[in-house]
Amino acid sequence: MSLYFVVGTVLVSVSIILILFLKSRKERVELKSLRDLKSSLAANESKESALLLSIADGVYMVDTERNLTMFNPAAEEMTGWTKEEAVGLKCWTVLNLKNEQDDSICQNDCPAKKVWTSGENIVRDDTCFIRHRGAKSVQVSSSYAPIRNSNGDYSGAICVFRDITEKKEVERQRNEFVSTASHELRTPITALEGYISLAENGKICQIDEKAHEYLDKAHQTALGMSDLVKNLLTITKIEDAKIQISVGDFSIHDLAGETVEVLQPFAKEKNLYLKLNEVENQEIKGEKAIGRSLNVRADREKIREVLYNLIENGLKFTTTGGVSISINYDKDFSTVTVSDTGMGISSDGQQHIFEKFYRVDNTATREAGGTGLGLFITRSLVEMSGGRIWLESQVGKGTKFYFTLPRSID
Amino acid sequence: MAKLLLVEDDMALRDIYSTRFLAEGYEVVTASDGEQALTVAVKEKPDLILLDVMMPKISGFDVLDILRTTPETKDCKIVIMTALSQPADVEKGKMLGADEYLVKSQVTLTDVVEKINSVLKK
Repeated sequence: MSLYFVVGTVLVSVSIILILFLKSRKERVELKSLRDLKSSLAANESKESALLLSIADGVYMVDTERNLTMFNPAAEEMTGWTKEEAVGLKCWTVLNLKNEQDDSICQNDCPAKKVWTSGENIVRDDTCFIRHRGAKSVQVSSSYAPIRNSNGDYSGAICVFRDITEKKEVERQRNEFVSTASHELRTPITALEGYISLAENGKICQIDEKAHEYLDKAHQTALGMSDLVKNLLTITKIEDAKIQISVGDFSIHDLAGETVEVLQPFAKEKNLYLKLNEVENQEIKGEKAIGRSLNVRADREKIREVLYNLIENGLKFTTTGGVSISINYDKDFSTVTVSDTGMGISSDGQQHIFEKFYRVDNTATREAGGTGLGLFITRSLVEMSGGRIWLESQVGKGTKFYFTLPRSID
Repeated sequence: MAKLLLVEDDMALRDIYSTRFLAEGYEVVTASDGEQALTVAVKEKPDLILLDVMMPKISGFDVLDILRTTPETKDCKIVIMTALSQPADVEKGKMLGADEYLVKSQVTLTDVVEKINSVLKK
């Protein structure tokens, strides 16, 4: 009995000791992993704050109520608010985003709100201003991304913004330089053209045929320079947003007719046809509408330049056939199509054709001359008028340029 | 033959235009700034003045305004020829009483001669 008792007691004690030992070991392991987790979390946190501390861009976070939840030192510097003051406040109180027209972006077009309603990232490039607390305005380029919680729901947004005041100033100075240089070039080019014209005038000079031929070439070169200068001036105006748009209602059909007439001699010289197709009467909103009488709302002179550029380009790069223009209407827009039967543009060329100084490089473009600025200007002018421009082309078959313009409101 | 007063501050352009006008059979007098233009206009009584706008001392617009209010020159034909091409500038020139407004980058030497001939015939 007592032997059983002793053995039982020993067994129970051993079990208890064993259990206690195992438990304490488990606790030790658990404690260690907790400590590891804590230190790795702390490491992450310090990594994050080091990142936010060292980054030169302003960074802030908002929740879906648009309360600021994070505000880094660069944001403090750019806005004049400290993190302690800013966190907890509504983002519009601190940032007060404005567009170029000085309208509030926060009220009408909150980009942070947009990211969690659309779920997409937004990059608002260069057109946004924040008000520094010291009242000076800082031009920023900013981007936004949505934040999700562990359930996958949107919990807010993160914004990164960069002061681009200096970059813009450099751009402005560059444009001013190009503009001044172009203006200064105008007078000598005019003089150059003038002297060539005097030399070729029979009442003033007697020169032989060879000299005539060379002077003709010099004259063409001077005209090319003069075009280049004109285009450079237009581009600096476009980039400085200084171009004046005076919008009015006019018949795009009549304007196309006038442009066709001006370019008809050039087409004849190259033995090409140039025609404006009659507009068919179309049904719009269930009503019969006479196409010709439908007006568009845009800057007439700018659209004249667009038509001129597109038709002249078509004629330049066409050797047989010609160029035709047609106009169609839908409820809100008028679409102008300029089709040529020329050499066409490769798909690689099509991707870059509207870029500044881009030229499709082949024998024909080298012979035709040009600055590589015409289509860049054309696109800018169409877009300024609220339209868009695109093309369809097949090498060897021809090219169709399309552009739209908003119709007048009846 | 009709007498032209050419007002142009750029020496090369003055040389080019006057050579061409002489070849067309016009008598040509010149001025290189706005102040000189006013003196020469009163003294020479030209039939037509070809007037630049951006010039030293007095601008072409001011010259035009003074010429139109001076008895000796108020009926003289005046053609503005300038680099300024904005609609507001053209409007201003016409309002001040120019008979014709030409933009330098938009006309050739022959165009200028034709315009002068047609203004003189009016």
